[in-house]
Amino acid sequence: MSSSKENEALYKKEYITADEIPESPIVDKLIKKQFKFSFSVSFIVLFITFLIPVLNEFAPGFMSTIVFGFELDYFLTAIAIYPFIWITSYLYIKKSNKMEQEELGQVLREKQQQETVEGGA
Amino acid sequence: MEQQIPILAVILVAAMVIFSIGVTIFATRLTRTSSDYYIADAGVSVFQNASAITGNYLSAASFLGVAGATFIHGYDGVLYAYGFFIGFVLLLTFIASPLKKFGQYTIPDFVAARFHSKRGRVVGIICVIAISLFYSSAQMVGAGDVLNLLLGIPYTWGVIGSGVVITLYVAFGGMKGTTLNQVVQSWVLLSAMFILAALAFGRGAGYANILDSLAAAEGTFGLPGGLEETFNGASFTQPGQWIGFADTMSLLIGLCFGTAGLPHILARFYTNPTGEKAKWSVMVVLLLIGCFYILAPYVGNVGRYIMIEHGSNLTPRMAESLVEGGQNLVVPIMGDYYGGEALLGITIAGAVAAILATISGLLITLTSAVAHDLYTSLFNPDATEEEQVKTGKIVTILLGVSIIIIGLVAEGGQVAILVGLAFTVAASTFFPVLALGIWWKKATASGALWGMIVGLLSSNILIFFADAFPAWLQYENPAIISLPLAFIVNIVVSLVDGKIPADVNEFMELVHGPEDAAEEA
Repeated sequence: MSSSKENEALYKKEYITADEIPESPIVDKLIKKQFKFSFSVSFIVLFITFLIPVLNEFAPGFMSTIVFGFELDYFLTAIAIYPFIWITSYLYIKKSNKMEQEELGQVLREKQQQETVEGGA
Repeated sequence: MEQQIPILAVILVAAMVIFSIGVTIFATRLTRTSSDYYIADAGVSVFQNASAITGNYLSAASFLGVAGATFIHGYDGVLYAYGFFIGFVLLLTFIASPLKKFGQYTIPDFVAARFHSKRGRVVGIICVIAISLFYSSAQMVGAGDVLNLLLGIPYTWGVIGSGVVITLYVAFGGMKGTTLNQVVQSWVLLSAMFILAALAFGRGAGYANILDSLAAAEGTFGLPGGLEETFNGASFTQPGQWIGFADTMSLLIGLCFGTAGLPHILARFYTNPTGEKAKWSVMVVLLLIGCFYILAPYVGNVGRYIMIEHGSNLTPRMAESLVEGGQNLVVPIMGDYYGGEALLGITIAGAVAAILATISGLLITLTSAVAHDLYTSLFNPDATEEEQVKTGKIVTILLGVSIIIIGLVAEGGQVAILVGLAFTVAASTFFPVLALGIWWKKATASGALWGMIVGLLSSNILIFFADAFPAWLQYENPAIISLPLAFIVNIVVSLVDGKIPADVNEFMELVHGPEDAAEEA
């Protein structure tokens, strides 16, 4: 798990500044793509999560509308939010795994190209 | 109230304890290395891990408390279930998979390896201990109260008994034993809630109908045993009667972001074999706890409905229990009402299972912080595998004793405040450091360090010294202030510091890149 030598390597102080971060188009593209996707999904979920108490406070009449026999505030908070999150999470996982497979293909292709260029040289 | 001890409940709880001991003996044979002890050799299946996370997460506060809060406060009680549930989405989208791909053992490990900082590890350890001790003390108080109320065991012996059982099976079973026990315990507590809700629903307690009846009820209602209950259905079914708007928003921030920063939940993602499986574990957890959090407030509402509309069908003992202790007892009393002694026994076993599963998860997290992060990683990095496992066992026993003592000292403490504090501290310390560490290349060790320190201090100060602040800064759960503060400090200090770890690209490639790339290339 751990040893003095590993600790020495772990706590080695090697720093760079923001300008010195090596350019890494593949990694940067990966992070950007994944962050955009994760952020969008989280934003939608959190927006709806916090919208419900906001509507309870500022639009109580609307939240008293009857839906499937429940008042809307109760229906959303106690029931509807759960299948919404299940479906959103399922779709998120499927898409993110698919993205990862595509990334794998891309990384392997680029590595292969690099090896071919190096071999040729 | 005259205490009647349900024999079937005693038998079920005893059977569960005996089973736990059996599992521990079995797991002891499988625990040889430190990796076995702390992360079950990263070989836990999605179903097992999801069940264990569910057991770990659904404490007595969820099993008894969510239904109880709904029974007492109506709609506002439902918000707790809502907040507890949604936090897992942030875990899924931002943290679970990258954390697993990085392949460490604990959250302080992550801080140390991401930022190459010993001080970061130490502050991480302090945060883990603070969060887990607050959480454990609440659970031990809950254990003592529940065993006293439900089985008539004196508080002191309830705390000591549950503490000893958990300490022994965590110490000797390690993560493998704890996982197996949590899997079984989570299914005991889920089954208890499902059976109770199904029986209530099957006997005509439709959700919308009972809410309609409750909304229309108002006045003082007579109950068996000469008891009376005053009730206003209109306010019971409306929001904002218990928690104001600003506190609701702050509570939801604390619960959502705190869930994604709880070390005993995060640690379980290291036990998955891959990042993809970590994501599917969250999906299964969402299904299990989602069903639970739909049903728990329903049971709370059913309890109130029976009390108000069919109070004459209750026995005097049930009526007295609901009037005096409904916030903790509505689940077992409804078990008794719908299924007699058998279902009463099952619901009590569910409550005990919830306590055992959560405290064991907290104990193994505390052990990891002290034995692995502090002792092995900082003081004795050359310890052999055997020494590490032995240290883990000794530390578990010492921490188990500490938790028991804290539980005894905290008798009468307010469980909700302690749990709320644990969520707020987790949201304000680990969520910012993990989110920024995983997603932001410019994050630095100093930013992480000061972000955690400010998050830890601000959340504690705003809770314990709330009166010293103006009214607009006073919150029951101050995550609305401490979480953004921690983020801002982390970002500003990182930008000013500018010392970015030189291997930042390798880290980003590891946690965001495809898992099979290295092998297949």
